[in-house]
Amino acid sequence: MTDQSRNAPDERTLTAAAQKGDQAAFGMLVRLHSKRAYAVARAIVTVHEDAEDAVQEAFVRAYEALDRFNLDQAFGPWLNRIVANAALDLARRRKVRTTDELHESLAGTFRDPGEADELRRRLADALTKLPERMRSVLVLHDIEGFAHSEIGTALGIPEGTARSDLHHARQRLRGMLRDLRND
Amino acid sequence: MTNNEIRLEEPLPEDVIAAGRDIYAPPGGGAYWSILESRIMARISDSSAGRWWMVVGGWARSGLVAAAAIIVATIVGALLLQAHNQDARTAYDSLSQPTVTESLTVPEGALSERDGPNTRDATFRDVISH
Repeated sequence: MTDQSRNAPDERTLTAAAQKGDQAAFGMLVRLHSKRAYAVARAIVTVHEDAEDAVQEAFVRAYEALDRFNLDQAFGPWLNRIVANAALDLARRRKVRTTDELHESLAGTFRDPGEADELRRRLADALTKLPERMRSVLVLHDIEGFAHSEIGTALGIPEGTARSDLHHARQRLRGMLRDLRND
Repeated sequence: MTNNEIRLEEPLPEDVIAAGRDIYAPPGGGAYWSILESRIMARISDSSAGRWWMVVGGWARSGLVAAAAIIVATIVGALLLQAHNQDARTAYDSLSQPTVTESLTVPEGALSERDGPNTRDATFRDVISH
């Protein structure tokens, strides 16, 4: 354990301070949780800009709801639920987005288009064809490394449903990438 | 458990997961998180400022109500005071002005203990008639 981590206030202390209006403490919570919050949002809305909007909105909502947060529970799962709700709200408003636009936004995340190989193109295409919740579960579990219970809490579904969705998502994805895998 | 179920339990191949991480990686690398955190905190500050103004706005509304109540109370008080003064003045005027009977001057000796009631009434009528 480093001196810095030994001296760093724990999450409960930070949350308690933030509840009393300490913005610096809330800033530290933002630093601790922004990456996973982004992952949750991105798994749901797919598009980077929308995920960023959802994360910002979620942190504002969390800050405003801090007085209702129970210090006996963990901050991360509570926040991820808020992030997922913000992302789902945004996704509902973006329903007009066509599959082509979604595919374009996923393909557009390649930092160097020259490196975008066939697998990434095919995977991006296949992901857009999965139902929203299945895609969210698969991305959160297989790409972002969330546990089933965390996914269930964030998306507001039973853990068993998250497992089932993951299996079906993998099955569909394998089917869509089968010809590529046999090359 | 069937072979198909075993297969469904299997994670995706590593190269597919790596491709997925590439697709879902936020642009900008490590610097991106500092920028995102700054934006979040800026929105929090805006939100807090908004709430501060809402609180002040609430105070202002309460202050306006209190001020209006004070003005109404002052006006009502002034009207009551004015009415009270008017009553006092009227009462004073009624006391200071002589009554008809008080203004009558009866010649000394016109009424005497010796005169009987009929004589005094006759004298009184005579004085009034002038």
